[in-house]
Amino acid sequence: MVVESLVTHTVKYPYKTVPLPNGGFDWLPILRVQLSRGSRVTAPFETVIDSGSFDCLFHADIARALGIKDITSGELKMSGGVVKGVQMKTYGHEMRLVIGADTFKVKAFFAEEMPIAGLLGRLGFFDNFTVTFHAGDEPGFELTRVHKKKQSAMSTQ
Amino acid sequence: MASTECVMATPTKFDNRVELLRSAQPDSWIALSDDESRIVATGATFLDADSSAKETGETNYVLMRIPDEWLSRALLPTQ
Repeated sequence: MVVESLVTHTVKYPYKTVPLPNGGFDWLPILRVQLSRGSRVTAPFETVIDSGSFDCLFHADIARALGIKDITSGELKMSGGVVKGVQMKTYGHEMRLVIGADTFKVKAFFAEEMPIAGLLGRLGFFDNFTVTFHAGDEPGFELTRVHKKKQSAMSTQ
Repeated sequence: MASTECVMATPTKFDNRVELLRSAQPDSWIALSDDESRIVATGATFLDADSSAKETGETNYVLMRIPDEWLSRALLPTQ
């Protein structure tokens, strides 16, 4: 049986802007995170929250910064986008995702072809946070950390 | 009974973020100052940009990958 902990925290973030062609710009739900593996921890970097992504995906450079010399040593998973026939090889490695004061185990997938530093997907991110998006004049999003723990067998007796 | 603590994260203080990003070299990494008002360092790789940022003495920065082209992207679902 899984029960929620008694305390949850909600943090509000503004969307951030990125350029578009022809002088335009877009708003995106961008979050600063870090990855850690063993004693190594990266500098903070920007990722995009993407509920369409199954996994958390990162550029291969970040794996190398954590001492993974060959990303292909990890679990291979083919990733597809919205373009028919286009696939990308991603490689999964166990590590920890650091978001503010929270840290948790994830299998992070890496690819050389990632155009941005990272995407925060359903496994590893959305299963640890409730995410609420807000449009309007001040677009932003809220993250609520949901701590879950397995109830021990003793407590069910 | 659950309790909820709300914290407002620091908003972007400067509105020149778009121009800063547009000025960066495509397909590279940059280190932005914490308040996003300036580019602290650049590099061809994550480690290059990180090392260059540290050499400047800057302690609070965030790394970002500049894509090869600024597009409105449908990001990448996986199977």
